[in-house]
Formats: sequence, structure tokens, C-alpha cells
Amino acid sequence: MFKYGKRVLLLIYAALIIVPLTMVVFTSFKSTQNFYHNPIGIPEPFIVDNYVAMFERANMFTYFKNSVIVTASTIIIVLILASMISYCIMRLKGWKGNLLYSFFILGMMLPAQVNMIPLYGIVSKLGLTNSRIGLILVSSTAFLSVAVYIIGGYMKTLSHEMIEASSIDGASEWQIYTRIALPLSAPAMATAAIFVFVMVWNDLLYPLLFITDNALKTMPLALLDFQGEYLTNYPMIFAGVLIASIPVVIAYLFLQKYFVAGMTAGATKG
Amino acid sequence: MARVLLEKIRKNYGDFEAVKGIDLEIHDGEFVVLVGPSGCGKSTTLRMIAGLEEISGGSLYIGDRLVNDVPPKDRDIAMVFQNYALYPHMNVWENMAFGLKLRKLPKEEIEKRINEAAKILGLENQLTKKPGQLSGGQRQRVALGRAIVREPKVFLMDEPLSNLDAKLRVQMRTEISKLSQRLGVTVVYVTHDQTEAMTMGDRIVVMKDGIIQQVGTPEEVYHSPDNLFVAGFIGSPAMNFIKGKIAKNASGVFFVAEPGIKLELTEKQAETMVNKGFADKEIILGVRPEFFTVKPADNKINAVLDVVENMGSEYYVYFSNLANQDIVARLQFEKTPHTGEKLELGVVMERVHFFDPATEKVIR
Repeated sequence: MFKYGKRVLLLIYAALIIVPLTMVVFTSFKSTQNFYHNPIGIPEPFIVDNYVAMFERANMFTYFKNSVIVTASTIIIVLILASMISYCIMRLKGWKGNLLYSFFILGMMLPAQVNMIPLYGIVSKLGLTNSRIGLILVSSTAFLSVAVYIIGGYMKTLSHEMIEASSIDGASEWQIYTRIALPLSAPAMATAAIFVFVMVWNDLLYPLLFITDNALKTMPLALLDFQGEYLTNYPMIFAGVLIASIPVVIAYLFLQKYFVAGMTAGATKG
Repeated sequence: MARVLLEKIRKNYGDFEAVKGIDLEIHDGEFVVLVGPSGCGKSTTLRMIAGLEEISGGSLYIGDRLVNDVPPKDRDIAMVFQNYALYPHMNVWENMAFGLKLRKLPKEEIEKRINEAAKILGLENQLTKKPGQLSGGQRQRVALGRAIVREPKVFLMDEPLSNLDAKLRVQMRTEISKLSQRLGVTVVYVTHDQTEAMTMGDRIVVMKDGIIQQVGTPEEVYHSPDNLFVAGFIGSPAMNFIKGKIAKNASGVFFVAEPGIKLELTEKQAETMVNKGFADKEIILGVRPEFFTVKPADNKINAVLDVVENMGSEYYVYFSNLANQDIVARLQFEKTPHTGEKLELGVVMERVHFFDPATEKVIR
């Protein structure tokens, strides 16, 4: 009985995800007229105009490029900083390392909305609004704590004796970091990279706060433009959503194991 | 090669004193084993020699150089750890070469040293394998190899055999002994296993609660323990301790204990006991299990067999009627004795030890 109950629950959950997703796919191949007449059904006629329009009229390439630049730069900055911080956390003896680790975990707990106003103040005083660099810096700091949580949790499990052995072998702190800790933390780095990728790629809040120039907009922000005051072009938005989600889906398909690793990061204590 | 000198070495963790001002000189080319129960400070001492723990007080010399504040990499030491501490992402060759590359040795020299070490350790065919592909024994050999190629002044080993199974442990024990003799290096070896200490060390340092209890050759530590702790810790099965009294009467000086144990002291022992004022005083008698005999002429103890363990060449026998006195004897019988059997047990009085119950020190 319990077995079937569990299956029914899972089926309902699956439906909750699959049905809206199917609607998004169907809608992206409908004309606006067709969508308002028949919002749920199969597209009639089946058209690809929305996708063509996306690239021809809506500067989709520019938005895509902006998203790639912001996301890639953020990932690189976050990985470099987070791995160094994690190394410190691992090497600091006793409570100091744990305090530093807790400090970064605390950063994960604060909702982004809490910082919005002071952050805007700082960024605009620095003259970094409406610039990719500003957005990259803000994204890097915002998502650093997640990466520290994942990489730090992993590095803490590295054998202490191995690190000591390398210091006796003659390695400096920098050499231990680059030649021992970093290569061994590659799985955690991959996991952190994917998490940060998904978060930055899909992020709407920070681009919305700091970017107004059309040429600098990222994909999620650009999609907002299709939402009008009186009329929303749903087929167009959904086509954009699908294009925007392609990289994430690809990443998920190929790097699934790292996603799962990230979910359990920090669960084991070294 | 170099001597290692510890002068009043202390280690504090907050208020807790893990090592309490120890003095020890390890000679050039000597194999010294630090042995003691968990928490006795042996590993902490080794880690201070390695430079992995700060020294809270005292002076540490390697060769003639004071190294208290010298980082591990500049102390010219190599260390072998309990869990091997190999670099899992590097193959055997790279593991051994790591320290040499960091020291910027010429390529030919690195190649030469690794090949030699691999030959000594039988690792020639494993050089391209990663540690994960090796057995426990092979990994420990790689860890040894990594230490050997460095050609350090001092080898430090922190319970290197603890993770190996019993058979491999015995094999590696002899290999390490042979290796140290062949290389003629100074070795400081930490273990909690007194068999390893006895079989490997030129000298043994027995520690307890951060204090050195005794330093001596395996023979000295085994046959002339300085105190109750050393006597009980070294030897397997452990030495038997029988609480009793020294009784003096017209016919001689005796050790008397319940139930009905009466053993006559040798002339020399009697003289020492009387001279040191232990006549009619409480005392602890220490007898190693092998210094019990069966069918003795005198100094008899009437015993009833409780548990008999057949070790093949001999028997470990425990007795049931010696109230409160936990006694085990190593005896040889022509046919296997049985539980409940009565036995007259003798004691080789020339080989027993007497301890002062107040100070726990041996009375000599």
C-alpha cells in the first residue's frame, strides 16, 4: 500500500514539473493568436517564427554573449578565491578555520534582497553600474560563499598527514596549494563551478539592479522585455526561456554526478 | 646521518601538558623506538622533532644545529606516516620524485635515486601505478621510498605498520630493520606495540603521561625494568604482579602473599630488602610468565588451572584459586593440561623483581 502511495506521490510530483515544461515547449512553437485561443493544446500551426524573431529582431546573440561573459568570468573569479579561502580554512588550526568557514556559510543564509540597497549604493559610488565588470564583481561576491561551502567542505576531508608529508618534502604553502590541494579538489571545484554557473546564468536580480543599457543585458533580463504592461508575448518569452536553458540542460546531462556531489557537500566531516 | 638531542622538551596545549620536559639523546645511526600507550606523548615528541608541532619549551638539536624554529622542510628529515600519506593523484615515481623536484635536483640524479630506492624496496614494476592501485604493503614501501630518496639525516616513523595486517606487519618489521642497517641512518620510530619496540630498536624509550619512564636496550628494559609501568608494559603476556609482604624470621627472608604464597628470597634479594628497610613492609612482586616452573623443588605455589591457551610450542596458563592475583604463566607440558587440574607452581626467584608500592619504583 505504502509502495503504491509513494509512486502516486512521485507521479504527481513528476506531472507538476512535466506539464508546465511541456506547455512552455508547445507555446514556443505557437503564434500569439493561437496561444490565446488554445493555451494548453498542441501548436496549430506549428511555427518556428518565435525562434527566428528571437535572433533577428531581439538581439538574442548579444544577450547570450553577455550572459556567457558574465557567467564565465564569475566562475573563474569565484573558483580562484574560493579555493584559496578553502585552503586557508583547511590549514588554520583549531577553531579559527571553523570560524572562517562558518562566516562564509553565514553569507549563504542572508537573502540577496537584504543587501540590495546598500549594494546598489556601493556599486554606483564606484561608478560600476551599467558595466559588465560591476555585475561580475557583485555576482562573484554573492556566490562565493556557496563555492567556499562546497570546496571548503571537501578540502577539510583531505588527509592532514598528506599535507604534512608535503611540507616535510619541502613544499611551501603555495606549492602545497597548487600541487596537492588544488588537483585533489578537482571534483569539488567542478561541482562548485556548475552550481555557480546555474545560479549566475539564471540570475535576474543583480542584472536587473545594475544593468539598464540594452547592449549589456543578460538573457534573463532581456526576457523581461517581452512582458508588456497590457500584453505579454508568451510564445516569444517561452522561446527565449528555452534558448536560455539549453546550456543548463546540457551541463546537467553531462555533469549530473557533480550536481549530486554538491547536494551532499559538507555532509561528511574530515 | 646525525644525532638528535632533546633537552627539557615540553609541549603544552593550553593548560594541558602533553610532553613534560623530556631529555633524550639519540646517537648517530641509532634506531630508537618511542613506545607507550595512547596519549603518552610519543607521537607529539616525534612531531616536534619533525617540526609539525611547535615546541613549547626546551631545545631540540639535529646534528649540532638548534632547530626549534626551523621549518620541517629545512630540518633535513623524512617522515613515514601511519596512513602512508601518499599523494593519490601522482604515480609511484612522481610520489618519490616530489620532494626531489622541489629541491631542484638534476633530472639524472632524481632518476638515479628513485631507481635505487625502487630496487631496494622491490618497486621497480610499480613505478607507473597510482597509490590506489597498490596493496597496503606496497603503499608503505612507496612511503619508505619517498623517505629514502631524500637521503635525510634522520628518519622519523609514526606507527608505520599499524594499518597493515598481522602477517605483513611482521614482514615489514624485518624489512625496515634491514633497511635501517643497510642505510646506517638515524631512525626515530614511534609505536604502541611493544613487540615492534623489542624487535626493532637499538634502544627503547618507554613513555607514559608525557614523561620518559625508562631508556635502554630491549634487554635492559625487559629484564631490568625501572618501575611498575615499564615492567607491565613491556612483555607479552604482561608481567604478573603479586601484592604481598616481606617477612623475616630465623629461617630466612620470605615474600608472603594470600592465599598461602610463601617464597624464599635469594641471599642477595634478602640483603637488599633488609638493608632498604622493606622487612615486614608491603611490597609488589613482579614475575614474568616464563619464570614460573612446574614440579619445583621448593618455593611452591599450589595452583588450580583456570584457562589454558595452547600456543603450539607452549601453553599460557591462567589460575583460578590465587584470589585477587591475576597470574599467567608460560609453561611447557608433555600433554595438554585441563581446566580444574591442580598444579604445583614454582618461581625462579633469581629472575623476579620487587617494587615499592608507594613509589612504584623497582627495588634493587
